[in-house]
Amino acid sequence: MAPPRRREVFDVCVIGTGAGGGVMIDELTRAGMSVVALERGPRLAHADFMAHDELTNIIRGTGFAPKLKETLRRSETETAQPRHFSMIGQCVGGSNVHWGAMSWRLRPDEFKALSQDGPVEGASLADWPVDAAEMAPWYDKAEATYGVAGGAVHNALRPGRRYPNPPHPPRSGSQVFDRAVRKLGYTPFPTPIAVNSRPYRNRAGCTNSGMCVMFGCPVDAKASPIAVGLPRALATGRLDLRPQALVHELAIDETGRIRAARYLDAAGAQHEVRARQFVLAGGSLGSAHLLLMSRSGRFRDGLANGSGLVGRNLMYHVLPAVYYRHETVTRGWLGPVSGQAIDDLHASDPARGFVRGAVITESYPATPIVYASSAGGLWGAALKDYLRQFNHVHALIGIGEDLPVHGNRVDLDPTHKDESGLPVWRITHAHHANDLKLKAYYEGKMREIATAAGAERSWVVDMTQGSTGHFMGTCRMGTDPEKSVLDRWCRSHEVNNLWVVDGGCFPTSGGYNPTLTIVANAYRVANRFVREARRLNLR
Amino acid sequence: MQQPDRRNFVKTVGVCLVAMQLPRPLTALAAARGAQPVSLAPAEWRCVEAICAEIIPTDGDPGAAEAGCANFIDKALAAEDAHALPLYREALAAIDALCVDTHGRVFADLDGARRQGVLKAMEQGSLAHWNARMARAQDFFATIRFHTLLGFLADPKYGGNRDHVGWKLMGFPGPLHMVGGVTPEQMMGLQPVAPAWETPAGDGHGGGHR
Repeated sequence: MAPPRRREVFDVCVIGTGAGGGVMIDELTRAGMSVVALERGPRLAHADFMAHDELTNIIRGTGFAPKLKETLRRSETETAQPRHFSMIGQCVGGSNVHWGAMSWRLRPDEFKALSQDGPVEGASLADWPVDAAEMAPWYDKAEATYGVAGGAVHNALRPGRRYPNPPHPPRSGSQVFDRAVRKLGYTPFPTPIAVNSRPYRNRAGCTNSGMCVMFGCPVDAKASPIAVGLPRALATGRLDLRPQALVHELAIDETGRIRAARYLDAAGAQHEVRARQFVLAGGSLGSAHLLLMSRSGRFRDGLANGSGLVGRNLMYHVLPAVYYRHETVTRGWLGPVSGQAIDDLHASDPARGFVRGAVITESYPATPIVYASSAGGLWGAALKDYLRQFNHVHALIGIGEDLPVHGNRVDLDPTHKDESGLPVWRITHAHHANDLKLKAYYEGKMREIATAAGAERSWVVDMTQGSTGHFMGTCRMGTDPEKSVLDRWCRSHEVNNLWVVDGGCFPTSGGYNPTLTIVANAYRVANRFVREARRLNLR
Repeated sequence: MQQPDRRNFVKTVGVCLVAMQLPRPLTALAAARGAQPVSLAPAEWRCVEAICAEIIPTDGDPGAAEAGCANFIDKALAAEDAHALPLYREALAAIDALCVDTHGRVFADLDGARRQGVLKAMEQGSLAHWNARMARAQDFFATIRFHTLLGFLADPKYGGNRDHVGWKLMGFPGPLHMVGGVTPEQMMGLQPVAPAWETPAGDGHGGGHR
């Protein structure tokens, strides 16, 4: 039988199949467009997730990016050293497969941090070109398609609305958090989480069998592109999904529009695919890296980089975290990463000595090796005692807004290459002093919560060796082409068939996990994209 | 902390020389072939076993010795961590040589207090007569410490955590996806959760989800 004839020119090429890419693929195929999706990672199966153990998957192995090479330095004066730093996923569905699924709307002021708090020395604060009111219906859509579970009240901003799924059942440790925060006068509410608490929209309810965050869901109770958008897109017959396709260059035509994406397949063979429109959704690191590799006479500093801002203003939050030992057994190894949260301390208040803020969530070490990694350098009887305490160690985690800094960036390492001979991406990053003050403040507040809980002892923990999976900022949106890479529709100011729909478009990071905002923003952009296409404004 | 002390502290902290974020399927394959040594010579295995036994000791509960951490390390050094085998060989020989010079016996034949003294000095990078060139003493210590933890807590298919002693110590019931749904009562501890290794796949916990 002859192989299916491959199209000569697709309507859209989407690069990256994570939170943003998955939405674009779903919405554009639904609108009748032909889409080719190029994903550098493999396509994992539910059987893979069922069988995953912690060592196969250790802090983001397997589907996550086992061959990822990157280099890291704190400032331009240093030479970047090889280090696997980013806790990102690289598979069909991206990081949105292994995520913890906490799903938040950014607060109104988090879209307007510059207007709210004014310029901060050494930071490049900017307002988003959209606001909370414009984003609201898209958040509604994102919560509905992702089946977010939560209580009647997320926070004071949305009284009376109900989430698509009811809250998850509590675990034995939950009452400890609840009592402690209420004692301090805070108002806990169920953490909104994109995991079905019952069967919803043809996906199963959570089996509460644990191994959730950092693992794929074997029953699709946890929302992800492979659970939600990609199956629908494939069913249209209009999606050509190509896993293990490593895009290394976007080639332009004589008018400066993108003509083709060049990629290497799993065997290292070169391919080229043509499309009318190109959507980058490779993540804040991957999308910027690709643009910087796509140099030409017209774009000497990288495609669509006339502003010089591609790769700059890299953010990834600060994660203040405290563990505490308590006589109540946690059962944190069961269920999804849910529980409750408090936002009473979130609002930006310069009187605290820093600006911006963080949400604080109930959490638990959930698996043995991850828990053991928090033991520092302990060994001997002290290590054994630390391991023995696992059932009794509760955790508090904050998602702290970090400030964009012009010098924090991703670019091409001048020395190190990956297995395909491509320059690896180089991360240059040092937290602004405001970030460190913010982190210290919330660590102190969490220790107060632990004390109010009646903890036997509490201690600050570095959950992730300083890293996170929440990369943002490298192709910021804005109205001024000299101060931004993308316009308010995530379309390049300079290359009119280029869109970037991942966390890279965020001008500021907000004090919440970013994924629901990436999904909602992608719905907003997809809606615009389809309308423009129908008006024949996209050639 | 005084600045000079902090600088010295940062310099002496050991660096783990095996990848922390690497899946190890080949280690599982090596372990599946049996518990015969594949990387470590008998004297090396003895030394590894003795070091592991100090890192996670046996007290009222099983430790690294019962878990078979040395077996895990032996298999890992034949597989994903093969690049570290020359370092292990050199470091183990160095340890035994200096123990013989200083105390008249190899590491495994020293009493507990002396073993811990040697390891403490390794950890701090202050071990006299450390003549291994491939790594500092503190880096080898950080490496074998991490390997011991993996051997103690990884799924038993990798050759360690024998009889799930690591998971039993921690009160971790193992991977539960294949044994079915956990109920709200079990989330609260009102009903027990049987560990994965005691429940045949598919039997469920009686109730599934509502």
